[in-house]
Amino acid sequence: MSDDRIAQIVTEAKAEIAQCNSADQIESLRVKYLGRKSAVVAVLRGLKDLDGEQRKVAGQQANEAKEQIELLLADHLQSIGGAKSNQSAGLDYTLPGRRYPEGKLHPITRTLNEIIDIFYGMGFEVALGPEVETEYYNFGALNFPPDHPARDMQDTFYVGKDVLLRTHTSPVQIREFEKRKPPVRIIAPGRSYRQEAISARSYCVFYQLEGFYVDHNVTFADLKGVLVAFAQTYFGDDVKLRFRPSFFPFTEPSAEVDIYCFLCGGKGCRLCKHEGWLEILGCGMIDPNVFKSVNYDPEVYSGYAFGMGIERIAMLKYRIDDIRLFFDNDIRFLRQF
Amino acid sequence: MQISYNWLRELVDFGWDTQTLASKLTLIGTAVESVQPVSTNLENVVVGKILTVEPHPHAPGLKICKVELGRDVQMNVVCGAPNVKVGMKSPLALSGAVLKDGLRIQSVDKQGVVSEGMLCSQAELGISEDHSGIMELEATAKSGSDLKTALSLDDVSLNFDLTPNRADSLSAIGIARDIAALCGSPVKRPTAEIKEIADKAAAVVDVSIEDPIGCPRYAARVIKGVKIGRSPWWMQQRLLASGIRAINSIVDITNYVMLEYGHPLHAFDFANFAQPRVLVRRATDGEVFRTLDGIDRKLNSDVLLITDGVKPVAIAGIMGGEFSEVTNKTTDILLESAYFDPSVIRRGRKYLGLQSESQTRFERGADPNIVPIALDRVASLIEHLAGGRVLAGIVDVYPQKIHPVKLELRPSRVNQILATEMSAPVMIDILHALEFKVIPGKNLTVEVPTFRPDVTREIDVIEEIARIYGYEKIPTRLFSGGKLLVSRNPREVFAAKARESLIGQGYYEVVTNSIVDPKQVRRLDPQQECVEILNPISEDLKWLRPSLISGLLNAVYENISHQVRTIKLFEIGTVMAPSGKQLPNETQRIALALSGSDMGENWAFHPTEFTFHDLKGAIEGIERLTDRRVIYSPVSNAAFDPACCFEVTMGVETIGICGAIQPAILRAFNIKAEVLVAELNFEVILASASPTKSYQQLPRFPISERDIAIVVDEGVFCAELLETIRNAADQTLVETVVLDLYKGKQVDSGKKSLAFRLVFQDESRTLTDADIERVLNKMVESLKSKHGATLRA
Ligand SMILES: [Zn+2]
Repeated sequence: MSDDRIAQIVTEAKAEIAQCNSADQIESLRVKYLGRKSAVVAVLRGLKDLDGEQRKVAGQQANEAKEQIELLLADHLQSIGGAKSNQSAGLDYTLPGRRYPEGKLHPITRTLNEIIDIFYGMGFEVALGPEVETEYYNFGALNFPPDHPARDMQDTFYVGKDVLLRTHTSPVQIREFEKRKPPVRIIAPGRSYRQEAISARSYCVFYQLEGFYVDHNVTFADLKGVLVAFAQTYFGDDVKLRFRPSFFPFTEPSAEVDIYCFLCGGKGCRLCKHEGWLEILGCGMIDPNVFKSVNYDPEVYSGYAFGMGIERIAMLKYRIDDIRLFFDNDIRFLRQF
Repeated sequence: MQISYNWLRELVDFGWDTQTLASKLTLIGTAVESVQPVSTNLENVVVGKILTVEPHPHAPGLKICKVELGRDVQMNVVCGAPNVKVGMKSPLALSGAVLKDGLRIQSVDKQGVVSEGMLCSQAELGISEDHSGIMELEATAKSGSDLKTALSLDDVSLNFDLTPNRADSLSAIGIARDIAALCGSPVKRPTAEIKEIADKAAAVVDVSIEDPIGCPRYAARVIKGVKIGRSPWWMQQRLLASGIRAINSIVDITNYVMLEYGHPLHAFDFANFAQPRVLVRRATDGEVFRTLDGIDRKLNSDVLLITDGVKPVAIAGIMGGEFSEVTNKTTDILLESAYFDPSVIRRGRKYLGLQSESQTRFERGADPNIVPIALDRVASLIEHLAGGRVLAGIVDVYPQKIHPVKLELRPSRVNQILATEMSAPVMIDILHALEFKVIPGKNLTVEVPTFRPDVTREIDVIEEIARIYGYEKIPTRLFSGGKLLVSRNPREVFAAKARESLIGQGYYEVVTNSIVDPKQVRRLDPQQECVEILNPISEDLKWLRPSLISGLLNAVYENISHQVRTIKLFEIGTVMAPSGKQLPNETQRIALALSGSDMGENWAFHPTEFTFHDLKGAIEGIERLTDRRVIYSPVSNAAFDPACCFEVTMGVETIGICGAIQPAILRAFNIKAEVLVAELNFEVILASASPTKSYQQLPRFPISERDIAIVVDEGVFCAELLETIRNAADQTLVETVVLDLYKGKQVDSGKKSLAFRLVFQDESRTLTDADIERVLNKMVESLKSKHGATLRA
């Protein structure tokens, strides 16, 4: 077939396509000009009988013609308003989407993950410890002397002689100190227990996150630094912190940390009990007696520790007013996070 | 502890209002929890002077009084109080006043006589609990003046929330000392002037201590001829503002000095002593003693007693006895000022379950060296306010003097710990303000006053300096050293993946109590051995969970009761089991629960009741995170429906159980719906976690698919057919999909039809129809001969 013949086919196709006014007509022209029995396809199919240079030239011409006709068909279809997709029949686009229902992380896990990620970014490793502990790890090694009023600060469940449900995740400090040499920078999240009647404010199980860092020359300023960095990342850059002296047997000096009430801006409201400040965690410089119990020399090393209640943080962040909601596991509650 | 604001102002000069004072104290660790006006029921209450008292014509118990309130203003008031008399001044509540019990005062007709106001008792005004009659005001009170001002009730109570280490701050002087350290003015201490009579106390009382460990110091004074009455109003007001009820002059004075100095004292009616002596000894086991609240208490040898040598008169430092209590008839008093050992008081308190203002102070640590000072202060107040003659001298038994602790403070260490640049003089000023003595030198020698038993080491002194210096002045520093990049905890990483898989499948994560109900646990497994709590908060929260199932069932119940239709829950948590060693075994498990129907909340899906295979699908999601395969085999377990209970094995290890919970058991959890549950050992799954996989090259040649449907007996398991197919095929069979399961009219009864999609592919060429037919024929032959399968057209 000659060049002229191919050019003529293209011209004919062009003229016929221009006459079409429906998608069906365009489709039948597609069959006529590009279908299996079309002239162009016949040329392409006959290429194998030609040789060398001839084959190359003819192939190129036929392919160009094919592309040209395809383009003409597509352009014209577009110009007459296109074709209908399968979606068009009686479409009610206001019906809800076909969504596969997803589950949710528990808000405690979610809060823990967020907090752990922040400390991970500041070089803290995660360590875990048993929930049933000995008196030694929970109290003795943490400088709670026997027969000392400090022990009354913690209402403790006992399961045996000198065996108890840990009242904080601080025993992990001792267990990790026994295994490692400074520098040690760790957070220890986990369940803790208190022997207290269940109410809107208190549950017998709670989640705590303990953090500690021991090295040469760790100071109170480092403690303030890491907690300010945490609070700004978690609660926002404009958060204000207040450190006030407190007492924990395993830290000296000790502090309680409050954040400026974000609900009322410090003016006083129900959330902050009209004090303008919300207590978020306890902290301090690790007491030399704690170091002595793990054979760290307090003259060589110093360190800080802090501990926060995860429910407390989540309750502040999501304005939850009853701690029992976390343990009821009502899906109507869980799906809100 | 509660202290009057006006009292603090009297003890130290400072210019802060209550709110400022509260926040300044809070910032040095002397936390003020709340600030409240002493009285809120005194609006529209004035001083009234009773001019006349006439009987009521129609009511025998009532009187009609003419009351003057200011010049030329008079009012008729009907009153029923027994003590109303002419000339007396008393609080008069006017129209608009609201009394303690909520009564709003207005003019009322009292049996034919109009009463324009009301004369009030202390109780009606909320001042004290005294309701014996109308309150008698001092003669100097000005008629018509505002009662709040007349009674100096224009005061505010500061409520302190003090940490247990701060024994020194349990008093007005203790708080004043902290204020003094903040503002720089000194504490103005009260004085004690006593005119002793010639008779010597030592001649009328002998003091001996049998247990000098429990009682290192005991001092006594004797006062004769006192007249018990009401304490003066100013003292009652102070006590009121400090949350202590006024009783009588002697008790009020001892309470007042306790609040003032923080040192508890006790006054005995000396006439009730069987012998003129004090003997401090331990109680014997089983000894019984009636305390002043009228309760007979059984004692043991942890309890320290004050006795007269014959019988006990008080539980040392905790509570006095009923028999030796000061009453209105008392004339001769033995005053006790002693120092008791904190741990002895603590053990006694624990044994008796008895707390008191006195006990709290002794337990936290009183000051042995303030004993005579506090004693003299009480004696002088009694002499001036309740009459009486103070016998000469103190009988003071103090066998081994307790000296102040001396320790060394390195100023460099202070700055090292706090990251500050404080000079030694700044530190010394702070310590002086707190009444620590300091001997300067390169290192400072610090003498800790005996009212600070909590300060025993250098670091404790550093804390004292830090708290007064101000935590806000300590710099904030981010990062001093240590490595910044640390690896994630593998357990946490894997748990996160498992959670992600389940959440993607629509499961909600739950967190349930690890303390569980023994009845529920036993219902699930009557043989279960558990770790038991010795001091549970209730009988139904007594065991540590041996399994997550009971918690999940409770969560299922919670949701069913709130009409939730799709319940898909999981928990990853620790379970405990007795180990025979000191600590129980703790292992993590992952458990799932399904109840209701899936996909019910969208028009585009048809709700389907959950089946065992939904549960299995979730487990497969977790299985895919490991490089081992899970196998199910029937097992019997009383908690499950015998037809749907399977042991789950991973590799060679049994990792748990899954199936449908037995309806009889569900009933015990109040659940009427069907519940499917799986519980797996998370430790084994974690140990099988897939290592990071390397990329596999994508196949270069096309796949060919063939669908076949066969009919077999209903009892033939799918897994057997799959195995036959696998064995009959060569390596070109890359995947077999179970497309369909059919039972019903189209097949004979007792038969089922299964359809499979077989996917073929070769690594090195495109497969031909002939290649595939050959393998397919072999499979069909095998299915026929092994399982009696027939091909379905
Ligand atoms: Zn607020």
